[in-house]
Amino acid sequence: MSDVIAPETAAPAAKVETPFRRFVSEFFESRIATVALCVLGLIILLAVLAPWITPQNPYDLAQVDVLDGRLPPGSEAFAGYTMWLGSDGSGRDLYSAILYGLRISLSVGVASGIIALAIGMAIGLLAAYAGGRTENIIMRVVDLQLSFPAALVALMLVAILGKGIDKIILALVVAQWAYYARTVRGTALVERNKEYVEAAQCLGLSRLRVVFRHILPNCLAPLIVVGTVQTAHAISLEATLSFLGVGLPQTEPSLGVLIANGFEYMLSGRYWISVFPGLALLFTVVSINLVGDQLRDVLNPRLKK
Amino acid sequence: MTAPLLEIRGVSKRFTKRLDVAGKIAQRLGSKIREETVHAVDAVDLSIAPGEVLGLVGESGCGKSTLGRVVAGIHGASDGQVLYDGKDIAALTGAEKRAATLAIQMIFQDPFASLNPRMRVEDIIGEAPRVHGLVSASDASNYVDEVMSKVGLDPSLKRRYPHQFSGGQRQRIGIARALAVKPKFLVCDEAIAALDVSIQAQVINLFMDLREELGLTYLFISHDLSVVEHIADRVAIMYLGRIVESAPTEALFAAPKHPYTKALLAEAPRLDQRKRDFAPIEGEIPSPLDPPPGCHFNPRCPLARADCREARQMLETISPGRAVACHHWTET
Repeated sequence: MSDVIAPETAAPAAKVETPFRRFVSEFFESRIATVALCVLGLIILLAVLAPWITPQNPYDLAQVDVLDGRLPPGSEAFAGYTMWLGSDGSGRDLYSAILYGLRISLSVGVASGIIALAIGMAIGLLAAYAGGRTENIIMRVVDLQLSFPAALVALMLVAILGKGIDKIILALVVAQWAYYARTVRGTALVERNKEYVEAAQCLGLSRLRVVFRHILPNCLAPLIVVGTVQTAHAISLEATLSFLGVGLPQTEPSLGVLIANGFEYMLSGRYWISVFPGLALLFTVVSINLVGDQLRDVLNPRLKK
Repeated sequence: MTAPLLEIRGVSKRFTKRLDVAGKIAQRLGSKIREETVHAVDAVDLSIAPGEVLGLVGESGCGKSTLGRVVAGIHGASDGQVLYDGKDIAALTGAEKRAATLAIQMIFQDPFASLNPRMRVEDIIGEAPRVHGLVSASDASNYVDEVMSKVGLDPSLKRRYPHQFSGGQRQRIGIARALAVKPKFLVCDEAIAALDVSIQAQVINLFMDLREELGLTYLFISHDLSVVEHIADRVAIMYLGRIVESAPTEALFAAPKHPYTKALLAEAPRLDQRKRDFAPIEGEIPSPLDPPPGCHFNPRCPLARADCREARQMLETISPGRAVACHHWTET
């Protein structure tokens, strides 16, 4: 019986229905969400594999030829490959630029999402558990923060901090932590008053253990939902900032920079420079949002049929 | 009489709803908003001997659950002391404090809310003994098996989650969780009220078996008189935060002394009186926000006189083991 302690070895064969399996099967009940998840998976895969599946590294100025500038979709580049999506004003192959831009957009979105989630979660839990004046002060700061549009907060911060990926991420974290803090605090308040928390108190478990082992795992469902939606939001915010020219520099084009670059050519009929990066952004944000919506439906027991 | 295992001395529990900034401003401006205080438990004395089952009975909202939570250490008392084995629990520190905390465990009413839905049964039961070093990590699994068998659960189900069990089984998991830290005293807060009648009987029998086997002492909180009559050695009746009568079970059911107890027993539905009409106690239970002066029962009491509205009669011992809080109990 000595091996029974290890969770893996003790797993019984007759594992009928774990919450995770039920969650997975319920998630895939929606066809739209399934498609969205596939699209999202494909987008992430393309972004990750970009250096191996694109003909050009758009950041390497040696590979970018100005003579290739503003070519329509399907033209042949000077280097000999076909530019299926055309090229932008500086001669970057748009297909390559979009995949590299996705890398930046996704990593900015995910990084700021994770950091904001960690900070917001800690602050929200603190507020819920401490109560009293601490909670009041924290939640009024959150209210104050949420009363400003996130885009405005991020815009001001980036204007002060300057350009660069790290500064963009910082600005997005500052603009978004409050959503997480409010979500966690709300759920933690509900969970804190449940009897299993009282039981844990009765059993003499430490406060830290009660908060992190008992309360936090039960707050995760709404956090995951807010996390996905906020990540999509962060990606579009970053694109907005870059479009406005305060986000990422021209040398590291994210999707927003690409769209901004093509904007001036729209009226001259060179639609592809803005439209294709725009579509990439659209597909990314919409698929993340659809996945987030389905997560919310599945994870929220009150919405269950 | 042996020394009590657990003694409650003058315990009160008040919940105050403090005014926030907006409320304070409104008050300054002449609004009638004020701080509201609920006297959930009002100067209660009780003592429970080792091995005894004390039934605590009262209507919903009378403060019996709050009293149970104060005893179990979930709420601190506003006034008074809870003594375990002669020592004030609040004054203990370190190892003694921990021993006293673990010695008193609680069984909850709702078998759904009282188990953490994200933990496996083996963790729910095994966490506290492991954390407190009651069993070594290598023995923990066997220990969980042992505790589960003790409460009539199949140990092979220990890797399941609470939602995969029925209400009765979940209540057994809750009992196993409490037993895993080797308590001496169990507070059962309406522990069977949420279960089907057939399951209720099983769980009551489990409580009684455990009492024999482990020498447990119980504070059994219930609104169900027939259950209390069945399992309690002694019964305390609570009304609006106060104990109005306490007596050995048989004596209390045979001859209640306090007018409230009388009314309560008279209206308990019984099989042999199926056809009769019920005459509910007149009036509503008063709000604990604004309890009546004097005896809390006076607005509804047939014996009430002027002195009942002025002074509260404390619990008074009228015969060995029997106490009643009424100015006029002799008149009935």
